[in-house]
Amino acid sequence: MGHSKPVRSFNRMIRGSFHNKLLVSFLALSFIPIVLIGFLMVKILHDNTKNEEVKQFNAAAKEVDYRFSIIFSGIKDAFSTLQNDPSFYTDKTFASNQAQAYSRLYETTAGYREYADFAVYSINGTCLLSTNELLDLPDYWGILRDAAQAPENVIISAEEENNQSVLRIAKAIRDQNTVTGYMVASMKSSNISYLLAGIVSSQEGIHIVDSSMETVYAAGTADILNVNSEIRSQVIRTGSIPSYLDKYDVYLKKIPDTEFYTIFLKLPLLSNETLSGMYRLLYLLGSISIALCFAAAWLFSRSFSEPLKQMNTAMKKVQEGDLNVRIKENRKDEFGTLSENFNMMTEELDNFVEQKIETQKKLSDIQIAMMTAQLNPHFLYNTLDTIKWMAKSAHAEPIALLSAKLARILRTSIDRQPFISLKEECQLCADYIDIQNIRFNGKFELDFSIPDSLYEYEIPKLILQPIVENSIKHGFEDVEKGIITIKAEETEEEIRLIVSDNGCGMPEEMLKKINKHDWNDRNGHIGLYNVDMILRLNYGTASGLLAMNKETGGTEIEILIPKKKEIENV
Amino acid sequence: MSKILKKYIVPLIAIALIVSGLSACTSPSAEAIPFSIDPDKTLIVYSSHKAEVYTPIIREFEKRTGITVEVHAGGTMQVLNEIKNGAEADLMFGGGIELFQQYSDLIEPYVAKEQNQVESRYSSKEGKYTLFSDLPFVFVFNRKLVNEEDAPKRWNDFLSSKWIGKIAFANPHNSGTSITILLSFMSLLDIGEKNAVNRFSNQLNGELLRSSGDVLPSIETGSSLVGIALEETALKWTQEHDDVGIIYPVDGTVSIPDGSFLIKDCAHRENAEKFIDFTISKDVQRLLVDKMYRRSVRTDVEPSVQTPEINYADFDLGWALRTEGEALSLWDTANQ
Repeated sequence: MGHSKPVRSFNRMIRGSFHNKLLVSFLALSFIPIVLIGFLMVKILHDNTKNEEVKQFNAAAKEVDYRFSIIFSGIKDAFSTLQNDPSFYTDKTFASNQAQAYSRLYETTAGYREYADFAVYSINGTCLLSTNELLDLPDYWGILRDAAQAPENVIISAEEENNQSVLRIAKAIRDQNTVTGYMVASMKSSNISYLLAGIVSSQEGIHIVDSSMETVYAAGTADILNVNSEIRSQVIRTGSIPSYLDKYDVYLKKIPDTEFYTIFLKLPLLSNETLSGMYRLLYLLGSISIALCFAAAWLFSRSFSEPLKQMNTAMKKVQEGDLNVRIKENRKDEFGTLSENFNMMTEELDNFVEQKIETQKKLSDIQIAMMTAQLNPHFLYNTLDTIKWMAKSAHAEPIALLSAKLARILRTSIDRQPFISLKEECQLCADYIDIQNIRFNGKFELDFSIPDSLYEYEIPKLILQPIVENSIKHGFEDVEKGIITIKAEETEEEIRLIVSDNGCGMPEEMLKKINKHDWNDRNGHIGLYNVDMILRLNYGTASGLLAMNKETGGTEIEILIPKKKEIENV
Repeated sequence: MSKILKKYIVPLIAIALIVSGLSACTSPSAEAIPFSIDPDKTLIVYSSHKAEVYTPIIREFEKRTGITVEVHAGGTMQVLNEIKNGAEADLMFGGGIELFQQYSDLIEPYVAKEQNQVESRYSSKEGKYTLFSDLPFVFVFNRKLVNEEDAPKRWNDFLSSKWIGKIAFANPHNSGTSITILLSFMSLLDIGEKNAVNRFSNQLNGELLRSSGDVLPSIETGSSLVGIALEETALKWTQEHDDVGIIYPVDGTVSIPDGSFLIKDCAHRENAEKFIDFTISKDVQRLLVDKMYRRSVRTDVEPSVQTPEINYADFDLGWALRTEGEALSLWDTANQ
């Protein structure tokens, strides 16, 4: 993906946390629509009112243009009528009869005199006739100079007179290309007010300016007049007009066929205060929505993540083997069901494991019983007892002794008690050696090195005898005198029983098998296998046989019996 | 979830941001109306003239040159100080030339095109300033309360005992015009400078006007009987009021012309030069005479038929400048 780094890390941030996911979703569902719709609505409202304003302005500007065009064309018509009227102007001069000239002037300008004063000037600016007071105009200045320079044109221009702007329309009077005088119509502020009456309300301002933004006419409140001069100064500083100035909307349009512009100043239908109030409200709504989103995301994520966390901890405990874990949850929703199911699952699991252990235990018991049964022929015992008594009565003491020892061995084996004292076990081993010595002419010797305090210690029966038997069976073939030593040591935690011989030692392979408790091939070593199994069944897998060859020759087999632990009946 | 995030939510946020950005842009005052003025065709004028003087001249200048002029108007000292404090200005239009001396480091010398048509002993040969109009002092009197033959004709007539407490005079601490009048007495009365100030001060008998603008109203209403005013002010007053008469001093009058100067390192130097040329053009100078009751500084412009040929007294402008401070302290001593 061609995502940039920040986008990727943003995605990761969102995906990494459930809380962030929720937050983004809530924002997407509440904040964004509110803000989006809000801004769009304000914008549409603003645009619509703006359009409405533009419409109003265009209508007003059109009206201004229309009224000016009417008056300008009327004045132009009057000028040409007078120029061509022989009773007004003829033979390079105005009617010699002043009254006649005035009467023509008044007749021709009737209908326009509310909007302008009309005057006729001589070539040097002397006022000859005027519908108002006779006031000379300089011929080297202003409108007369313009008219003299372009005698074929009607000049429309604004001038300053006695601190007042006057809009003048002038035309040179020509007699065969020679300028002989001027006709001038002057529109003062009052005339223009009359002309433009009703176009703008008192709340609005109308401002007519020339191409240098000098005021030709201005109407409106004092406020509006101030803004007019501010507009001019802004145009000069920045080169253009702002569309909004000091709470007024500003509109400008050129008046056709003139060098004048109409500027409208209008309080916006939607004032800036209203607009910024709306935006403020939107920001407030947006902020509230964001706050709510954060709160909701927090609450929801907490209500999701708490049970998940509980579940997680419980799962870990189960992993560690603790099946008694239960989740306390009173919720009625899916999380409640999930917790309930989890509890049910662990309970089932617990039951299953217990059952399995139970089965295993039973199996072990049967195994032990079977093992002991191998050495449990009652019949043999009774027969031996009979032999003993028969030998005694026949004064065959060795036979009686032999059969008595054998019977003792058998009794110990037959006894259902699985544990006997170390002393009893040692006696068993001694009996066994005695019997073998009778067979092999005293080839074997059994030594004990056991502290008195340990003789009463209880151990599983028949764990030493099979080791001794193993030594005799396999260890002493090439040995003249087989010596077996049974040693017992006590440490703080365990009893160590060591059976050593001076035989030929065990093959390495066998040692490895014993130490790894690998009894797949137990041929010939069934005795050792039994001992190992009994130990491990009784004391756990940490227990069992440990065999090694001594450096001085012979084998040493060690049994560790945990001391402190109560002997469990596993 | 993350796909949804990527597909929808990120774009949504982007849209929201764009929209809020847009609506921020649509707030008013952003767009500009298509009307522009070439920044090279502008000029910023600082003027101490009254609006009725500068407005017609500036509007005609705008029409003839297409240059748009922004005017900052105010009292002479105020305007000069604004320029000194770094206001964005191209030229100074108006103000007595005697004041320009202190601001010579603001001035960019310029010799106007038609400078050769201007003839005045006050002309600056190095082009430090360009003269605009000549403003002589005249004597004024109340025509109802004073017979014309009794009114002062010479400067020392003001020392006559009949005018004690009857002379309209503004406090020289408020009025530059009053200082010039004091200097005129010091220079023109042959009785010693200190004595002249003392004698004139005694004549006032403590009656002082707040500003020189109060001189004509005070005479018109009869509060004072006689006074000294600029010819321009007096002529304009008499156009609209009936009770003030004007007398041109027989022993000559004092005139300190006003003028204009270019401001150093101004932004629109070329336009400013055009404007200075325009202020001494024949058309403007004729208008001064025809419509503004002023006297032209051009040799080829006839004075108005209403105003007589003027008789200038021997008044040393350089001396006047140096003595201004002394005149005030003499005045203060006399009034202790």
